[in-house]
Amino acid sequence: MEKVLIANRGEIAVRIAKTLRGMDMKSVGIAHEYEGETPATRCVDELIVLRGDSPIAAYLDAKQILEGARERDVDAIHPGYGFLSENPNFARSTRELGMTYIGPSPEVIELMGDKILAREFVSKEGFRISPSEEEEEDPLSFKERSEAIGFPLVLKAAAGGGGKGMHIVRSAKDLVGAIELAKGEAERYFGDGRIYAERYIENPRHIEVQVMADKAGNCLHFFERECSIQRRFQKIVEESPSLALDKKLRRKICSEAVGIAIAAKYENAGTIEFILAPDGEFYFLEMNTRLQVEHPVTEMITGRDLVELQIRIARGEELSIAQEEIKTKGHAIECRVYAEDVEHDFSPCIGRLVDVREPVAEFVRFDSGVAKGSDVSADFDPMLAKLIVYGETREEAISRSVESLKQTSFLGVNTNLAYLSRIVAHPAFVKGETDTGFVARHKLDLAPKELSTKKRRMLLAAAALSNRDFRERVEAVPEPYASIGDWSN
Amino acid sequence: MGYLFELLGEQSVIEPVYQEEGIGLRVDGRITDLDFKDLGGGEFIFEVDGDIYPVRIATSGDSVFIHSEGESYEILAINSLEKVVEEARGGSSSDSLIAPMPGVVIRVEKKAGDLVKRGETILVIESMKLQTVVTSFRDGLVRSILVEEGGGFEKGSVLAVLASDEIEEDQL
Amino acid sequence: MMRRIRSQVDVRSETFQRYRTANRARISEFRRRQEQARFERPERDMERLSRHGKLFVRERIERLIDPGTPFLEFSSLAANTEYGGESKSASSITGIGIVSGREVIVRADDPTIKGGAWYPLTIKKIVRCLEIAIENELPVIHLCDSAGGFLPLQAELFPDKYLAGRIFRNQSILSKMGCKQLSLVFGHCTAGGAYIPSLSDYAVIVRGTGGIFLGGPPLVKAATGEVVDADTLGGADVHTQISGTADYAVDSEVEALLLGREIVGQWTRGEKTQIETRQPEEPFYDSSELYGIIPDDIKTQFDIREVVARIVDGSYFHEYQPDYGTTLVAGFAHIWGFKVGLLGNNGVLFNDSSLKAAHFMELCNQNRTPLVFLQNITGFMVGADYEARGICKDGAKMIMVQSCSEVPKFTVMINGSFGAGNYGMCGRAFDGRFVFSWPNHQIGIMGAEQAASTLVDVKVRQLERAGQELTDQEVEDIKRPILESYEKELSAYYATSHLWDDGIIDPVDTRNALGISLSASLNAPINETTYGVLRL
Repeated sequence: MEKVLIANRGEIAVRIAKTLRGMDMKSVGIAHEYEGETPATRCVDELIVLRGDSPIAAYLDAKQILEGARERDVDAIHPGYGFLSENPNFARSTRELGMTYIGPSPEVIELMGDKILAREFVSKEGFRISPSEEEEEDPLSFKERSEAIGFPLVLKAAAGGGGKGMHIVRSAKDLVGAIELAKGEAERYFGDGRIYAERYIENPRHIEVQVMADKAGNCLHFFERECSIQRRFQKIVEESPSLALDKKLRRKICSEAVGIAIAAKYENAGTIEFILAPDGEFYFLEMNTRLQVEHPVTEMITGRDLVELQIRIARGEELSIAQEEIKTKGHAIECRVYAEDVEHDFSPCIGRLVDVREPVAEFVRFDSGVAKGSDVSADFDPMLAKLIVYGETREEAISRSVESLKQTSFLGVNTNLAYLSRIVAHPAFVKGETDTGFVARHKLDLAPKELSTKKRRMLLAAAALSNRDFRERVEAVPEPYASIGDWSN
Repeated sequence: MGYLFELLGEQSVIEPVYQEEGIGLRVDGRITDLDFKDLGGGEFIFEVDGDIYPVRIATSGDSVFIHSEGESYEILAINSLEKVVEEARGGSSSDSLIAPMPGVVIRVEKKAGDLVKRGETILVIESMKLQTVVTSFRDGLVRSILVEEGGGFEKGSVLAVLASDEIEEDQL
Repeated sequence: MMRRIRSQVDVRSETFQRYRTANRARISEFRRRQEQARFERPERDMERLSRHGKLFVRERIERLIDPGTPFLEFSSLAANTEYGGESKSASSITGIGIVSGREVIVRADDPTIKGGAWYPLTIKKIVRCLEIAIENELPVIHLCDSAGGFLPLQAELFPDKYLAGRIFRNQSILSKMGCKQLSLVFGHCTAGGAYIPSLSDYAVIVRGTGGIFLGGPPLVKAATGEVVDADTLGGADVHTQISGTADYAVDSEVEALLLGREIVGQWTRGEKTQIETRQPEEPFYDSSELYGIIPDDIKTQFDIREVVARIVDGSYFHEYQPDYGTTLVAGFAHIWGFKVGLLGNNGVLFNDSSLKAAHFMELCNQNRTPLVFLQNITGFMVGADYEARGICKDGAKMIMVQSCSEVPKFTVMINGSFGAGNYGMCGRAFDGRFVFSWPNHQIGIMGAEQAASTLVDVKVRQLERAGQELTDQEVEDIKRPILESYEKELSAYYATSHLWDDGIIDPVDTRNALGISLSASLNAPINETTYGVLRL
């Protein structure tokens, strides 16, 4: 394997190319013809320019990408995350064309990609999933079956996602009404009235375990990551290790993850996500059959390059390390920098980055997909970069994160940088009181502080003096008028 | 009258205060004691009324972006004339689209009740063998189209009328 | 480069304190009258203004000029002694300011006084303001809102050479010279007033309130029976879409002012005439000390150098011929950086002081150095001895050289201006670019006492021939009305009311007023000076 195509863009493309370079391999990037130069196009050895109506469609155009890969004599394809990374057909076609797919088999991707099938598989293999009942099985007994799960429970649309159509039911008397409501909404939102009931875990933590398995069946875990800090059901702050796990619980949850991977005959890097209830119970949520956005957190505390391991496994090498050899040191926190308007429901922002400053420090890793002059468009996910900070202790990682976030700036679009600072500096975060309700619970504390009138004046004054039109108008006033100033006789 | 700038949705008036050493500013009527040092590369140290702020500044068009103490701000320079004209357009000014010259209607692209954005084509006319696109001069609602495709009109005739205020839009 | 004047004034002295008290009282009286002229308006008129969505004339000007920049207003107390005081500032505001970085003359009608009607002195003020524009080659912005000529006084404002027609003649000449004119039409421009926007290069008219017509609706009805409303007759849309009399229609006064600023921003800035300059600096001696220098009695002598020291940059003064003709002080200094030749009076003009003045002005003309006159003059010396030595002849030289000077001239009436001294020192008749007066100043052919005594003398001789004598009471009866009328007519307020100057200024404002005047004057070229026949 000498030449790898990175079927992705942005920071992850840059990150993969970096490892390829370190391994003396050639990298081939892809970009849509309208995109222009980006850090991702600058860091690869070769570039395939994709055509098509929209940039996003081009990144999903497996046929065009594969054709390009063949033309360039590519040996393997790394899908990154998003786009085609969980598309079994893409993985399958890659292999059929004689190239290596750096990831698991199409069958596993398919299995884990169907959330209901995945839960059934995991449950059948004897692992814990949260209790649930589907209405479809027997509509008449749905109410009784739901009651048996216990309260609180949540009603979800089978075809749903993103939190839409979800109803939390706290007592039996509300159940019938809620079922009606949920069915109606499921029909309206998704055109599919199927619903199911699931145990609702209040204030859960989101814990995931990084696993890595080779062709020979060796499977290792790289410990957990806690990703409880989420907004709009998307992770924004991740860390490892999690304060919520003691030694025993960590061993239990990690070996459960390894067990699931082995049962699925998993190969390459994967992540098993769990819901951790306040009482210490945890349930399988889903398995992601690719590299995760937040993988650098794991790399930072284990000292392992996960992309390198992915490549080695893909080219047939066996994992040469034993589980006991994988040790963690210190603490790492990742903050995801998004172009978004925190004050308007985190809606994505677009614009041109007129100035970019990255934090510089030994303990900081800054994975960025944009640079000064980059256009942040509505075509793609608005994540600009990831800031990953290491500390000997969690406290140190936190204070370094706050400092690094303050140093970082992306001028030209709104970002969540300051919001991230407020999260990691929040006393509850510092104490480790993190769960998926964190952002909603501390909404007021996390809102931007009212601007002092003095600072407002400073900003306006600095802006006026930096504004060309203002300066020109002010400087156009001739002498002695300017020196005489605001005078009248 | 001073110059207008907008920060966090609020407008402020800035006036220069000419003085012996450089320019001072009056911000919202208050004289601001000001000093700054250009460190190069967009980095400045501003001293305002005795407080020191290290800032990073970048500009793009009418926007000035400032990064200070971990927060980023966008300050927009507002052209007062443009603002006054826009406010007047949104207000009492005529709602009619008037024919700029005599001609015939080639195409009618909107009908009564349609919502239109400023600049959106309402109809296309032709005169002196030249086609002209008649666009909406503001956001609003088409109340009526007074001409038909193929029909002729004189200079100054009303081609279409926009709804006069928001209340009407609500009703429809 | 120059030595600094060493002031001899003791600011702690009893005299200084007394003068200061007197002058402060004069200043507060001046400011009180000015405030009244600027802001005291009938409530009815102010209400009508806001009902029509109009801005007060001063606010219009404030919004027109560049923020943070000065405005040199002319003749703020024009007409203050006439028409029962109702025509405040002669119903018109004129001045120099900066619009979009350009030096311009602003001329504004005031619709809160009789609908902005033009009184005879309004005409005089407008004509003078356009004359300033012509002499200094400045663009003019007209803020139009006037009902037209004040009909009850038509004979005093219409027919003569320097009356209403002169406004339009001056506008035309300005245009010929290439000086831009912009009219912002806020209200009506009726009859002759209609020519102001029509003769402008750019005209903006406000919808609804602005109107331009040769005859307003009542006149049209009277003349032809046609019934028509003002908007249909000469409103914004008529003139910008049909007649082409105006160029831009706007929806509000604010829009007109902002658009006006944008229009002025399109004008080419010409090269100014270069003269000697240096970096400006404040006078070394505080200008507020002028209050302690000007005596409380006009008859008290004071050293003009003490005044110079509080007006010129750094109080630096190169005095010319310090030991010759010492009643006239002449020398070089800088005002707001501009090099000037200063002439000031330290007493009556003798033969030598007249010759010194003439000689110094010749130097300045050749040197292209503008002249500044600080008038405090009782006249030329009289008496057989001086007549025999040719005081008339020497005075004529001073007047001739001064009249023929091509460098810009500026006069400040600082204390007194009597008799022919006024002529030699560039009085109003001598085409100084600007003439300003201090509130304490008196001007006339002679002082009140002298005039009264002269007239009593004439009467006594008449009666003597008839063998009669005047009683003390009769002498008093002759003197009192003369003294009273002189008292009134000699005052700076009477002078400024009749536009004999370009306004009364507070002494501390002298440096700024001269600085702006100098800057404005340099928009026109300085021609080479030639003189008439000097009686040598």
